[in-house]
Amino acid sequence: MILHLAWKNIWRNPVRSLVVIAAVVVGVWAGVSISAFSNGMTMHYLNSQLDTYVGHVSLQTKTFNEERSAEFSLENVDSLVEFYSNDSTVKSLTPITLADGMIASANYTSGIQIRGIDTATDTLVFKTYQYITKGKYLSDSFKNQIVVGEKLAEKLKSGLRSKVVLTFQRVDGTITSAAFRISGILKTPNSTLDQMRIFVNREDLQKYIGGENTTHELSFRLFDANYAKTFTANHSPLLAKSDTLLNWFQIAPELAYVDSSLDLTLYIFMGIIVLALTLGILNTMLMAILERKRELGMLMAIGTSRPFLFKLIMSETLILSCIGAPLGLFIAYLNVYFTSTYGINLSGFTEGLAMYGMGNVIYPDLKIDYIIGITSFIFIAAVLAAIYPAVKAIKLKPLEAIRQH
Amino acid sequence: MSIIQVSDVDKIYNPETIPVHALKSICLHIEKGEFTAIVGPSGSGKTTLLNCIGGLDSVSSGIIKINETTISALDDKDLIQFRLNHIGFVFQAYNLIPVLTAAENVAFILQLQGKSTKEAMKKASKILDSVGLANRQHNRPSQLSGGQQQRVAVARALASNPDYVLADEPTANLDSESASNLLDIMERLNSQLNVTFLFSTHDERVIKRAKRVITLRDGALDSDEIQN
Repeated sequence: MILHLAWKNIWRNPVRSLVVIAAVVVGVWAGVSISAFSNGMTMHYLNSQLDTYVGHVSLQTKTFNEERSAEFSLENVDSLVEFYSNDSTVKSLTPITLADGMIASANYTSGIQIRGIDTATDTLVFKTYQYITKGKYLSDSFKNQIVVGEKLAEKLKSGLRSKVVLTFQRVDGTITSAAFRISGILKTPNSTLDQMRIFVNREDLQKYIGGENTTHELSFRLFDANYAKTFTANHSPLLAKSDTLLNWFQIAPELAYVDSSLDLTLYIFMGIIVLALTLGILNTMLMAILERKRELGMLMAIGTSRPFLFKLIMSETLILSCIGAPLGLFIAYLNVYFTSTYGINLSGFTEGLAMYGMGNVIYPDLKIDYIIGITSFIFIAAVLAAIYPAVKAIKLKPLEAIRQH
Repeated sequence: MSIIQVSDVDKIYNPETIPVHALKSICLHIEKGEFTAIVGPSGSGKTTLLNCIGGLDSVSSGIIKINETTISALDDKDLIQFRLNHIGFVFQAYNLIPVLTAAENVAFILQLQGKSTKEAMKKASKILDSVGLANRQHNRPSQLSGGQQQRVAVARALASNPDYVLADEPTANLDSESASNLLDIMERLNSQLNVTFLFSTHDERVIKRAKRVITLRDGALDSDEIQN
């Protein structure tokens, strides 16, 4: 009986009810869409960082991790590679030789990190090669090639096939310089890191650094990036005392922070949406109560209990929410499906996004947790918004309410 | 035995600020099956007395007993339950639920009493038939004339099988023909079902047809006459 009367009551003023339904629809749609967009943007940022510079897990010597000096190389690299290649959670791994140094052209000099990569396995761990905009990625065909970032190339005023000089410390502590020719220019989503890191063939770097087998890092790609913490926890006890395994949360804590702060940011967004929605529903339901004061007074006069009236008002709000929430979810689903397929092109903000390491096409990504969370939020908001009008209704005095005109 | 006993009832509005003595030492007894009109000029206390007897307003002093229940001593929750099961109300402005049909309006009170929808609708249909609205059961109040709406209100008042029906100015908003029809129905139900009717009015048409006329003046009982 309550639901029957509540259903009829909500259609006594269709425009007002449709406004409440529309508010719920917009609330759910906006909540889900913003969540999907934020999640997509964060995932895109995380993945691009993991794919270009960070990797999932890194094996280094403890001293290299602390002092970043070329002399602290990993021992028995081949056996380490063989051991970890057999781990079912490891998708691929690649050895890296690193050196901090200077890059110089005729016009410009800058401090950089030189990454000596293994051309055979680097592309299995990193996707840096996908970001080449001019020329080619490194290969074994030619000696002393170098790949630099677009911004750095601009500063160096150097193009493809231009010569640059790298200066860095050898393993014996002396300083050496070597000329390299630019074979490729890349532009990853992170323009800041593009200016600070350059890529050379590992064999070339090993030759100049003075240690043929010098390997500072083994970088891992796991089948699941989120398994990195468990991986390091499981394998760390098996390491040589001099070595350390670092997961991406440790290598790039700022990425872990972005990941963990996403939920907080979304819940703040949702809080704002829900607050606006709550006030909207509250206002509408209060109007509905005030307009029906006389009728509510009559209902109490003829013997309708206060709990009945309370449930009636609550049911009216919940019915409106039950219509609005699925509609909002459906529209949001269509919206997210479309945008996640074709992407949201933010090319107008490319420069700004690149500074923060983000690409200009965002693919929204929706998590089921967010759908459940947002829908629950909306329902809780609807219930909370209905309580005050319902309490106001049951506090009416029948005689005074009947006398209302 | 009296169905309604009003003993020395006073009602004072704003006792702390500007006291208004709406009822002064009212004593009266209403027997089962009576068809009684409470009359008097505006401000004489007719509606106040009716509201106190209906448990919608509290008394300042005195006792109102319905059968053996002292309603002036009941709390809010018990009063609502008492009104549901013992009193039928007919209001001047009909006060039907606009979104429900005539039958649903009548069935509503039966459902509040715990009857199933099917059972309530069946009984509602029967009662509407008795007030001459068999063919209007599925119409909403907005689709009915004032007289028809008031007949639905009478049907609703009778549906709960009350001890008595209180009607506050039931014909005030009706034209002569509708008022006459309504009075015919109320009289018939009073004689056929022995339902007690107590109504406030200053409508001469109603006063003439009442079997007993209680007159109030300035909140006090002025006269109490049986009419033939």
